[in-house]
Amino acid sequence: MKRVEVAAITSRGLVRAGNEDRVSVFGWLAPREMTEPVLLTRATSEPVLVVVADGLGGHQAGEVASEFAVTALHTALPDVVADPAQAFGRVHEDLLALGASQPEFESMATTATALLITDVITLCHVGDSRAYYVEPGFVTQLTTDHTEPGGALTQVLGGRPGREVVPQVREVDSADCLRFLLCSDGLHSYVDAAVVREEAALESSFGAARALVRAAFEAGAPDNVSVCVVTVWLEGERDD
Amino acid sequence: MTEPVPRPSTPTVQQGSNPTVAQHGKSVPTVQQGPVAAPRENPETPEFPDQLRDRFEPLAVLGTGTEGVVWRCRTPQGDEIAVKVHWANHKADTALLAHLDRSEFRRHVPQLCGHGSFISPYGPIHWVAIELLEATLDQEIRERFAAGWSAGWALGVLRELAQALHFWQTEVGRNPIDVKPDNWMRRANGQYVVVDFGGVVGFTASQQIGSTTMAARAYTPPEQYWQEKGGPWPWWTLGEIAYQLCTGHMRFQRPNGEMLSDEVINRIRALGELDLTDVADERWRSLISGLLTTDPADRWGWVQVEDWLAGGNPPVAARGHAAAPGRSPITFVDGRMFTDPADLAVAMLDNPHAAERWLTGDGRQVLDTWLKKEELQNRFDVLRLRGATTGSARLHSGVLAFGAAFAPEVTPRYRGRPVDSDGLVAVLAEPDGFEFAGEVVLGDVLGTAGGYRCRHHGCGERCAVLDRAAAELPVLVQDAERIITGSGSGALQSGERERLHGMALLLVLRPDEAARVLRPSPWVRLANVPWWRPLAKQFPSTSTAHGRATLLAQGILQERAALQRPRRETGRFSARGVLRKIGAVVVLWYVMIAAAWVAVVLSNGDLAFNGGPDGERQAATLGASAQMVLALPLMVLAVELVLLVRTRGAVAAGVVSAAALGVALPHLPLFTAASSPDLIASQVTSLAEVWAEGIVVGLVLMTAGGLALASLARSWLPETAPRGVSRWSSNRAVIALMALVALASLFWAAVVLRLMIYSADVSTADPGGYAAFLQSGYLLALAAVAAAIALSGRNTIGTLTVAVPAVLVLAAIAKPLPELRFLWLLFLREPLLSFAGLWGQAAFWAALLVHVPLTVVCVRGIRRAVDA
Repeated sequence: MKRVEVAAITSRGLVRAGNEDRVSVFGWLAPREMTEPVLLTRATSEPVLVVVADGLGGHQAGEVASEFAVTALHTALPDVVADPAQAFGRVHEDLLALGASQPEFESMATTATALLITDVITLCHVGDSRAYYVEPGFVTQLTTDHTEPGGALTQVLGGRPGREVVPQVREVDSADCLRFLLCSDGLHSYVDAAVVREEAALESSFGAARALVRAAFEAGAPDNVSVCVVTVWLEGERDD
Repeated sequence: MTEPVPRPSTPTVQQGSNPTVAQHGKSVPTVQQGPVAAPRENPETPEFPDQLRDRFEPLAVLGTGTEGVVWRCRTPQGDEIAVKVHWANHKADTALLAHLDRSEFRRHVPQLCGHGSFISPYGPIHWVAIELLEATLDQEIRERFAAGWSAGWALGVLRELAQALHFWQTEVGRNPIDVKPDNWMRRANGQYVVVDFGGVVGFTASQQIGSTTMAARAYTPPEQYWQEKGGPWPWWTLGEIAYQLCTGHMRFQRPNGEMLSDEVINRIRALGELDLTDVADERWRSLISGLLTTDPADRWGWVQVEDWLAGGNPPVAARGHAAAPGRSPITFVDGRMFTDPADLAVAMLDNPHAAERWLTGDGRQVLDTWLKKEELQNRFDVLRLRGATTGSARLHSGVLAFGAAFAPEVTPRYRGRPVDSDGLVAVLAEPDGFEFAGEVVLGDVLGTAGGYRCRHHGCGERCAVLDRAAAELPVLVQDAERIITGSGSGALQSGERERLHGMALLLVLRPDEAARVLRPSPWVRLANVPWWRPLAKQFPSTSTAHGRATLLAQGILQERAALQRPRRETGRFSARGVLRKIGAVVVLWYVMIAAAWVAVVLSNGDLAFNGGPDGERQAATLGASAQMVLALPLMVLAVELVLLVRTRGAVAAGVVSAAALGVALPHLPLFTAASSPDLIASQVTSLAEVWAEGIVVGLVLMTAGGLALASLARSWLPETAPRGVSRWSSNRAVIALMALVALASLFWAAVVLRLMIYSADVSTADPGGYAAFLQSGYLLALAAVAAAIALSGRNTIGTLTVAVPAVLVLAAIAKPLPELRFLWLLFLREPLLSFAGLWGQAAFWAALLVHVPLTVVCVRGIRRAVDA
């Protein structure tokens, strides 16, 4: 049994009118605008899923795409557990089908970075949202941005028909205590890596999430910003 | 008869106008050496085989080498040629020789003037005769640099060698991999030919060439590690020769002429930057860089060398991992900077403490950032460095993994210690070896070390030996722990756990070696410890997983078993205990007498069951008379068994002995020391009368009664022998004396038994006396063995274990040998004969009832003395 603690927050930032990011934790869909992180804790041997999705602003209905993705992934949790890449592929096809059937949703697309916690911890990722592994003094990016050198995305869920999606999947073997950071590009594109390294490793998940979003705001928050600080313990490692 | 060709201690092949036998300081012996003929008294002067004298007249020895001796000879036609006579059993590739014996190959292959073989006392000897050549390239280089180097000369030699390699690979269709300077020879007209065919192979994409390679290490390319013997191989050697043509010395040679160690050569060859500072000419540097390109696929071959010879400048590929020009530097500890991750890996493996200091500081983050910047992150998962600050084992495992990713050619090291298969075995012998093994087993170090290249035959890019060990070890340790816990002896203690890990590691790497250590000695195996006995009864095989786990458990628990082995309880007198023993003796005696009767009746079954009433009576009477004869010996035996065996096992031993004596009684001498008391005799006789009326009923009743009494006797004896503190002296003189008494007594008893069995022997009239006579003759030898036992220290019991059966064998074959008479202690003969004479015709009984028990007492005394 594992104990999972997630501090989640998402915000439209200081420039954008709306928030096309979506965050879901344990099936709970975070509101579009939050001023403080929410701390959720679960001790379970069942699989749990944390997803950060960033609807693409240049496409129509980005906020619909990101919400559709996180909801669909949670709804299909058993499929995600069985084969995360295939589950992402189904969401991609469903988004394409939705875009083809309704003109207002044409080409809608989203990034998605999901952290699945079972006996092992699995990351599944498409786009330029990111997942980091964090410990004091050491932060390493676990996902690879699906971008061209100019910054254009090379892979998204949804988008124009005919494009294949090949999610990045990697497993992290279990350990006594692990800290992950999931975030949209509203954080990592504007906040210095050294700041991320320092703030993400704060002892409290809640404090880390709040500090990171504040750093994004201090950097002007030109984009929507979403942060999930996920801490996983083997049961018994920590008592609240 | 022709003497076999001797082998020199320092091999080198030299052929030329100025022959030399001694190895030159700069020459490099080849790695492989063939079978050796027995050396003659003076190995410096080989003798030309008689079998070849009708073909060739030997003129001089040109040299000796790894394959044989080369002679300058004259043919009957008056031509001078070179004849190479191989070492006995050193095979010659006759198919290759036949292939090379073509005139169209003559340009770069020496002319063959014949080849063949003959039989010597040491095996077949092959010989091959070739044209006489001028000098080796090695000699040529030395002479040229002594006389004055010229660029034209170097260029000419290089062109000649390159053309020769190309010729061999294309025209001859063979790949000469052992083309060090010693194996190039010059004709008088300046042409070079390859003269050593031992390193010539056919072309295959990748060929296993065994655990050793027939090529000089300093001239072999890095792909030797994974034994890929392709076309690029000899071009690397040409690069090394080109370096020598420019500088006059080898690349791996110190200024004082000494060669660097193999380990250093390997590292420089595979990883190090190419140091060409001694090569002044820029074009030659380019040539050498191209030829010494680590990756065989990018290495220069004939096309590039031909272009270079024509004045071109072919591109030089980036050098291995490091070649990335423009790669940004990363700063390790003490300001050391690296641009090549392989160099950084070697630095960390070489300096584990520095690596720990660096990685627990900001090194991890710096490394992560640098790897991502240089797009190397896919070759090493930085999560291997996760948690490095909380556990140095994890950190060093990460360092090992980093080395496997970027420098797999070097020896894997964990915390600075080698963790390849040989290195691990060596580490186990160190004082903290088992502790280290525990970390290796628990930290999946083996699985990571398996990612390094090794030299095992059949291993590819990963070491299959370590991979197999990594897969097997956790299961083996787990199974052994389960067996240990299930034995009921208690959980593993910390020292035992370390020993378990260490021995498990040795068991998967060197099963035979580990099995010798783990198998309990016979004495420990027989230790009367309840939880130990079921485990000790097993003789597991190392060829099955369960067998290895069982063996491991036995090896770990044997020390506990030895410590818990019951000791004699001394110093406490218990009246109840004495009474129980007396009772056990009496009851056991009855049981034995009953067993003897039953055995005698059953052994006369025809009489008892088919002979009618008279037969039954006769059988019953035979049984009764056996009882009377055996009554006293069995009583003595009962006393001895109860006192010596001390456990319930005495009852079973008594029943079996009594039955055996009953059956064998007609063949045994009478026990004349004393006769049964009348009371007993009358009882036995009357019982015989009773049973004569119904022998079957008698058998049933006697058997049932015997079993009931046996059960009673068993209940009065302990299940295990009582423990106590040994009061036996561990003085070596005492041990020697006890050993001598034991061996001499056993010898006498065994000789007597031998004489009883072989009744045709002339000496059976007085077996005791004859045994004493032999005893006096062999007493000195027995005393020497006894002294050896006493001086064996910790191996005393082992030596004794060997000595006892050896004495039995000696007793079985011992004869008076006149030639050894000087060793006989004649002055002891009379006393020994007198002592034996005490037994008279009852020597058999004395052997059984006195000498064998005396041997047991002494052997047990030695064991206690050793324990003490």
